[in-house]
Amino acid sequence: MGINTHQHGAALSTGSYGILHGAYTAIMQTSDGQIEESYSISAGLDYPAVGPQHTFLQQSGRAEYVAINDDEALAAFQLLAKAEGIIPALESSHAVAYALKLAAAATTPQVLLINLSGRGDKDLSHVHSVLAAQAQQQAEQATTEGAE
Amino acid sequence: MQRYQQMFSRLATEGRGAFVPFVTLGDPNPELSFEIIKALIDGGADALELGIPFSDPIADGPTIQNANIRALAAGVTPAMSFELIKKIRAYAADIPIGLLLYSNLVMAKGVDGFYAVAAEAGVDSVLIADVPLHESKMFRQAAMAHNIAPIYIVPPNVDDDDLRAIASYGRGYTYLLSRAGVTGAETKAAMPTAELINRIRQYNPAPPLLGFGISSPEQVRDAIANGAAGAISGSAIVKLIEQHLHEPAILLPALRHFASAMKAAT
Repeated sequence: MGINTHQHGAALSTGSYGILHGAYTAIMQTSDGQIEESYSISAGLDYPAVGPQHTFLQQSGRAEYVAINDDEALAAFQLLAKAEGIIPALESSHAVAYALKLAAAATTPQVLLINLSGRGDKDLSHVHSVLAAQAQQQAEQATTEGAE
Repeated sequence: MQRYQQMFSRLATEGRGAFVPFVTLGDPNPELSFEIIKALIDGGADALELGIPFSDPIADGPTIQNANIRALAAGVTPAMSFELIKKIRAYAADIPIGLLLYSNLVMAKGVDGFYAVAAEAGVDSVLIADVPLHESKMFRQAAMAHNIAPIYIVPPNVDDDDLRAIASYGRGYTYLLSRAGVTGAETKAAMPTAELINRIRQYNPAPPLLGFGISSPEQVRDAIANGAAGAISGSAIVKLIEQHLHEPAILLPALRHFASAMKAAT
């Protein structure tokens, strides 16, 4: 739902480290060390830790990690599918979403390289049900507002 | 950690082995948990093995996972667990108390700080279920600095190099694993042969207690007959707790009876 809510899977953005499943790495935990529930629209990011390689890359300054929320990832998923006919995995859609932010902020022509780590065929039914639920919610809201 | 030596020398004089029950601290709530542990002591437990509830108990099967879930749902924290240990220590001054827990609980407030708090509460040993031998240095150094015995697990397929290391680093007792896999009475212990225990003892580690899948007096008898210094039983006890969650009047005598039957087999 986003890094400012309790529903996220962005362990690297918490700045908190511990041991989960045998690795010392960035994790989502309470002050007592209990592991917190993660959340993400994409199953591959729905984990309260990251591989320790990412923690190393972040701490050594070789990579910067940012968080993207569900709506941004869903929008990027649809945009790449419509514009290029490429269906990105929901995990990769987070990268596409951040590239779109960078592109919007660019003042000079730039080349951006995105790693599509997986294909989104596997996510189609999930995306379909999420979008259908959103459309229904919007329709209900419109009806309520219309009645007022 | 001297309490283990005192216990083993008393048992040697008696010509008996140790019976060590395991429960999760605060399961199902702190008040009843204290009564449960008292019942096990009254029933004849020689030492205690206690878990601090953790969100991700990866070495445990469903029975002890549920004990963790119940204790966490009751709001039990590590701080409350240590308060409970202090009450147990006040109730039984000489009984060895071992902690069996997971590394992130040790890391959360700083490794040295954790052992300091444990020592102050009256803990004699700490076994961290998810720290392998080769990653254990930081933990065992902190343990030794606070006079707490670091406990090591000997798996059934242990090799000679690891046995040598475990004999050198371990104190208190050695946790002899009856089989591969997670805790639980569903999968019975495979009894290690007298040859295996004899081979382990040649390295002169702290006395080996057999655990995982021990739920009956016959298993305790067999373990000791094969050369173990005693046996640890957890899931069978936690199952009794699960069965009589809301019936302490039935649960507590049943636990006393279970402990005394297991102790009688030593």
